[in-house]
Amino acid sequence: MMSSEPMQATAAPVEAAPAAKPDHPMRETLKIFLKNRSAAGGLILLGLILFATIFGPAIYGVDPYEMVWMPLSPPGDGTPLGTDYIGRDILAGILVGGRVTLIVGAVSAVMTIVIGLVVGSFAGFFGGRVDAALMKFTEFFQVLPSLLLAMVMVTIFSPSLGTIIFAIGIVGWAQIARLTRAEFMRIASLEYVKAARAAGARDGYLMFRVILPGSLPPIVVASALVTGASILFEAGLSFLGLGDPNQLSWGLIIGQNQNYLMDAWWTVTCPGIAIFLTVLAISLIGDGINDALNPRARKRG
Amino acid sequence: MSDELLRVNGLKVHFDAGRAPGGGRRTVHAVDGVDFSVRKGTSYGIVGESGSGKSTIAQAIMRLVPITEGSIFLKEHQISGLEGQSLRAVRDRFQMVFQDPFSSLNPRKKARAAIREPLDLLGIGDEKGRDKVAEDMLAAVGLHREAGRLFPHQFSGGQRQRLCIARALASRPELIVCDEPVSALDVAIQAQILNLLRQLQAEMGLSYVFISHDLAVVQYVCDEVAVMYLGEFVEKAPAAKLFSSAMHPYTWSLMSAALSPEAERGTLAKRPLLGGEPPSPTAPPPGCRFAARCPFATERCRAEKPALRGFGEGHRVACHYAGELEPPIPELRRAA
Amino acid sequence: MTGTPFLEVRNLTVEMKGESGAIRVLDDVSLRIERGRTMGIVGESGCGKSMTALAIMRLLPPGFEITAGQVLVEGEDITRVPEARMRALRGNDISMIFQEPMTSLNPVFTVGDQIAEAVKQHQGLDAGAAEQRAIEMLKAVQIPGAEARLHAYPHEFSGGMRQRVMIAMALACQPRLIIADEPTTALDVTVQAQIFALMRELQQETGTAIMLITHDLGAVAELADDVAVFYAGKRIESGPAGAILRHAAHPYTSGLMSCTPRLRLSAAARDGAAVLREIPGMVPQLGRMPQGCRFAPRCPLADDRCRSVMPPDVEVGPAHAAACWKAETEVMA
Repeated sequence: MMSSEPMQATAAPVEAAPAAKPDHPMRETLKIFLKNRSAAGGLILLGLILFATIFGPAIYGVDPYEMVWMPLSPPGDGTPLGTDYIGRDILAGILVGGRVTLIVGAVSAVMTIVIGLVVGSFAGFFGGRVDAALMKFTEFFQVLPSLLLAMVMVTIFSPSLGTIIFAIGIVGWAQIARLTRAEFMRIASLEYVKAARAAGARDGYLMFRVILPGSLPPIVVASALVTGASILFEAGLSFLGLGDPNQLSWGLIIGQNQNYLMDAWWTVTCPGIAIFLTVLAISLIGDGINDALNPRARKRG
Repeated sequence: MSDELLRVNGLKVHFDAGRAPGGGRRTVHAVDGVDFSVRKGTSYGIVGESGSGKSTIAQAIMRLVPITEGSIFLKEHQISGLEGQSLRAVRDRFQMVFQDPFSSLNPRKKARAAIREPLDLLGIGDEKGRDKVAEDMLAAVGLHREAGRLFPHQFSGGQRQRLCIARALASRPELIVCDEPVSALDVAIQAQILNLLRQLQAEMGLSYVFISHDLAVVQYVCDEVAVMYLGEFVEKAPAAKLFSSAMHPYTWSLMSAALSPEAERGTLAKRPLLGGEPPSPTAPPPGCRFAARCPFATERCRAEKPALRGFGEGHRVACHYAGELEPPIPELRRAA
Repeated sequence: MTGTPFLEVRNLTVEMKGESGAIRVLDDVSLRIERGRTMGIVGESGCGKSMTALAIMRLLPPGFEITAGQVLVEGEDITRVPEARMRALRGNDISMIFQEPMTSLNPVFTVGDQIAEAVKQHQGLDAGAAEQRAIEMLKAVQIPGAEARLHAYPHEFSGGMRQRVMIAMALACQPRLIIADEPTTALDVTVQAQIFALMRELQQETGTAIMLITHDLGAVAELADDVAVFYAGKRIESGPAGAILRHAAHPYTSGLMSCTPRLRLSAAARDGAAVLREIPGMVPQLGRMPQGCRFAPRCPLADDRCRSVMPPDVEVGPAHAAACWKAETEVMA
C-alpha cells in the first residue's frame, strides 16, 4: 500500500517537518521477533541451557568424572538423573559436557559460516570464471559424504577438539556458500547496487557495505540451522567413539552408555534430551528470525 | 559544436548469451553502432520498445556494462577508456536516475546517507559539507530538509524518485542519465517528476539523456530524439522536426499506437497497426532490422541494410525509402 | 439502459482487518456494468480499482472482507452465495485477465492443456472437444499456427502472445463478463495496440462485457463505453466515457486529464511544450483519510464544506454522477 509520511511533495516548496521518528529496519525486526512466542520461548530455553552449562557445574558441585553412587542407579535414587555404568552422576556429566558440545557446535558453525560467506560472496559478486571455479570447488565438498570425511579426518589427526571442529567446519560450508552466492546475485542485480556503482563505488564497498547487509537475513537463518546441525554432528562423532575421549560431551555420554540403553534408559535419554532441547531452541530462534525478516510477513513500507 | 557535452561514437554493446544450439556462442547485439551527441543544457531522448537496447545505452554511458566497441566522450574525457581511479575521478560529472524508485534505493540507508553516498564514495567535501549538500538537494527536489532522517520505505513512490534525483544531483553533475524515470509512477506523480526535471534543468543547466518508451513523455522533456529499434537508431532529429515530419515507418507505428484521452473510441482500430513483435537481438536479420514488421518492406529492405541519411535540420533516417513513403498518419501528411 | 444490468455493485465496502482495527480500502462503491459494454475503471495505484475486481470475484486476499453492500450478477447477490456457486461463476460467467502474463500462466503445462482444462472443468466437454475448443480459441486470438502452438509452453511465447493466450483462456468458456486488470501495462505500445484491437474485435463477436481496470486515460478513451473514476477507495465519478473524458465533473478527473502528457504531432509539435499541470501532493494514506472529501487536501476548489462533509453523488448529466460539492452540471458544447 502507500507509504508513511504525508511529508509531501510538490515541485513547489516544502511543508511541515515529518512527524514520524525514524524506525530502523533492524529495530522493527527485533520487535517482531520478540512478539513471536515460539521464538521468544526458544531464546529463553537457549538462555537457560547456556546458564546451566556455564554456572551449573559450580552450583551443582559434583565431579562428573568421579564414581559417586551405585552404577546404573535410576533417577531420584540418590542422584537426580541417575548414574552411568561406572556410577558417575549423569546430571553432572550433562552440565559439564554441555560446554564442550556447545563450544564445538558454535565454533564449527562460525567456521562453516565464514568459509561459506567468503566463497559464496566472491562467486556471486564476480560471476563468470571466478564463479565457475569456486562453484566447482564447492560442489566437490558438497558431494563428499560428510560424516565419512569427518570420521576419516578425526581418525588420521587424532580426535582432539581442534580436529573435530575443523572436520565439522570443513564439511558443512557448501550450502552456506550456495545460499550466499544466490543472494549476492539477486541483490547485485537490483538497481540500488547499480546506483552505488554509478556513484563511484569500488568492488569492496559494493560487496561488504551494499550487498552483504542486504543478503544477510536468509544467511542468518541458515546459520542458526547450521549451528544446530553442528551440535548434532559433534554428538554423532562422539557417539561413534570419534570424539575427544578426554573431553566429556553429551555425545560422549550417550556413546559410552549405548550398551545399557535397555537396562538404564536414563543414561542415554537424559543427554539425548539435552541435545534435543538445544537444537530445538536454536531452530525456534532461527524460525523466529526468518519470520521477522520475511518481507511477506511484514507490512510493506 | 562547441557546446557539445556528451559524444557517443559507434557504440556497440554485445552480450554473450551462452552456447548456440549448433555450437559456437550466441551474442546479443544489444546496442549495435549508435552515434549521438548531447548539447549542454539540453535533453536527448531515446525512444524504443523493450529489448531495443535503449537502457543498455544508458548503462554503457554510466560504465555499468562493458563496451564492445566505440567511444564515449564527456567533454574532453574519454569515459569509455577510463578504468578504476581515473574513472572514479570523473564520476561526479555524470550521474543516473533509475526506473524503479523502489529497488534503486538501499532499504538500509536513510535518505540523507543515500544522497550523500556519491560524495562519500568520491571523497567530495567534508562530513559537514556533505550533510549540507544532502539537505540542499532534498530542498531542491521539493522534499523537507528533515526528510533525510527517514528510511526509503517511509516515502511514497514519487517521493522516492525525488530522492533518487537528489542523489543524482549531489555531486553537481553536468549530465544525468534518466532511464525510464517516470514509467513506474502514477500519472499525477509522473507530471510532478517531469516538471521537476525540467525545472532543475532550467535552474542548474543540466543535460539529460532521457530514455523512455513513451513518445508523449519524450516530447514533453526532450530537445532531440532518437528512435531505436533492435540495437540501432532508425531515426533521429530535433524533437520539433521528428514530431512534425517523422519519416521512418517504425516511428510512424509508435506514433499511431499512442493513445490519447481525447481520442474517439476505437481510434486504434482505424489506424494502421504494426503486427508481430521485434525479432530476437541474438540473430539480427541481414537487411533492415525492421523489414520483417514493416508494411512497406521490399526485397531490397530485406537484403540491404539502410544507413542513416540526412534530411536537413539534423534529421537523419535509416530507411531506403525515406521521404518517398506516404505517412499513414494524417497529421504528418498535413505538415509535410 | 433499463432493467437489470449484468453486474451491479451496490454500496460495496471492503475492510482490511489490521492490528489497529479495520481499515476501509473500498468505501461505499457502486457500479453498473451493462451487457456487452466496456466499463473502464480508472485511478492511481492503491485507489481500490483492483480491490473492486477481487471483491467481485470473491478472491480478496486474506484479512480483507466485504463488510457491507452487494454484488449482483443478474440480480443474484453473490457476496453471500456458497463457494461452490462462486466457482461455477468464476471462469464460466466471469473470467479475469491479469497484468503479468508470465506469472499468470502455469509454466509446467502447455497452453493447450491450460485452455482445455478450463473448458473441461466449466463446460463438461470431453478431452477431444476441449482440445478442439482450445485450437479455436488460439485462432480467435490470432495466434499463428494454432494447432502447433497448442503444445508449446508459456515460456516459448513472447509477452504479447502470452497475453493473447490469457485472453483465449478467459474467453474459452464464453463468459459474459471479462475483468481485465491492467492487461497491457507490461507490454510495448505497438503490442498494446494489437491487444486492444483484438479485445474490441472479440467483444463485437462474442458480446461479452468487459471491465477494464487501468491507470491510462488513453486506454479508457480507446475501449470504454462507460467510465468509473476511483480515488482513495471511493468511486468519485462515473458516467459515459465521452461525457467524462470531455466534461469531467470532478476536479480529480479533470486533474488526471490535464496531467497526462499528450503526443502532439504536426504543426503543434513545433510549439514549445506547454507546462504539464500537476495535481499537487499525494494520495492520502489508507486509514488516515481526511474527514470530508478525500480529494479536498489536493483540490484547488476545496472549501470548508469539502474539508468537513463527504460529498454525495450528484447527478451532473445523463447517467453521469460525481461525488463533489462543486461539480457542475454538464454543459453540452
